[in-house]
Amino acid sequence: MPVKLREWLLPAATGIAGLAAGLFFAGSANPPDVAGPEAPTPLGAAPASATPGRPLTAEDIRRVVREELAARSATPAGPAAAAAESKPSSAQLQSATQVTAALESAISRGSWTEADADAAREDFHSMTGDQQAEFLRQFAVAVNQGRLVPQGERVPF
Amino acid sequence: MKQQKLSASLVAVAATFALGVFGAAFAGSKYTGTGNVSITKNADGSGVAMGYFGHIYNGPGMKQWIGCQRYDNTGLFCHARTEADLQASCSVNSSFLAQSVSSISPDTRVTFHWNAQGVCTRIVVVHSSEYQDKQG
Repeated sequence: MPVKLREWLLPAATGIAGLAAGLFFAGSANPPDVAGPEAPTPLGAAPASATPGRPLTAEDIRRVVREELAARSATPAGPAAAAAESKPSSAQLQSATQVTAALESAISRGSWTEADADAAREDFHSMTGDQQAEFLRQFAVAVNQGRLVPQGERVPF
Repeated sequence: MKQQKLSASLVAVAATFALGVFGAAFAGSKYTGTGNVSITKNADGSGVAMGYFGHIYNGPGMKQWIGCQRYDNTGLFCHARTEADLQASCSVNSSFLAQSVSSISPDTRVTFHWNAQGVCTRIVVVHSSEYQDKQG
């Protein structure tokens, strides 16, 4: 019987010692946030977790979350914002109508002159990127099919 | 006396030849074509245009030119014109192809491809020591 007890004592003691050591180290690595809130760090400062020798605190995590949320609110909110940006205003729609009319007139004459470019330039540059791309695509198709011959020595705008 | 003159001439000719050979060898390979703008249009409305910026600028041509314009963040337009007044254009809204346009320099060879809808589908910009730079 004493032999059996000794057989159990050694592993049990080792286990208890290991548990104690584990709790000790875990406690020192993640101490409870009892020291009160830290002074707020300015946005853009290095996170506390990057500070060598200092453990990560709950306040660090709260600050990182706040920073991430602030950064997200400063940027457009995904596809909806992108769609709103690319949606042409009424003035841009009017510019597109005028530039397209100028292009159709030029195609009917068979040539795109410097005067055409000068007259349409302001409207062209006020359009959205998608509107500009569509206009230039129509311009390119007409040129490639030989229906429109640019007369200038430069790109249309 | 006559023989001496002959040998001197031979030496001079040999030296000149050697200089030419070694000079050419050290100068590096050079593109020997005209570099003129070439445009190929396919029956379906697609096509390709190519030209060497430095060669075109320095050459005797008066009409031909090739170029691409990045007109906003991602939009671009390319155009080419040959000496025979054949012209071609394409346009696209592409951040990837816009990067190619940004890399064009005065000694590059530019090739652009378009589809039947006039959309640029490929832009190739080659930088090579074989090509001329724009002079003057």
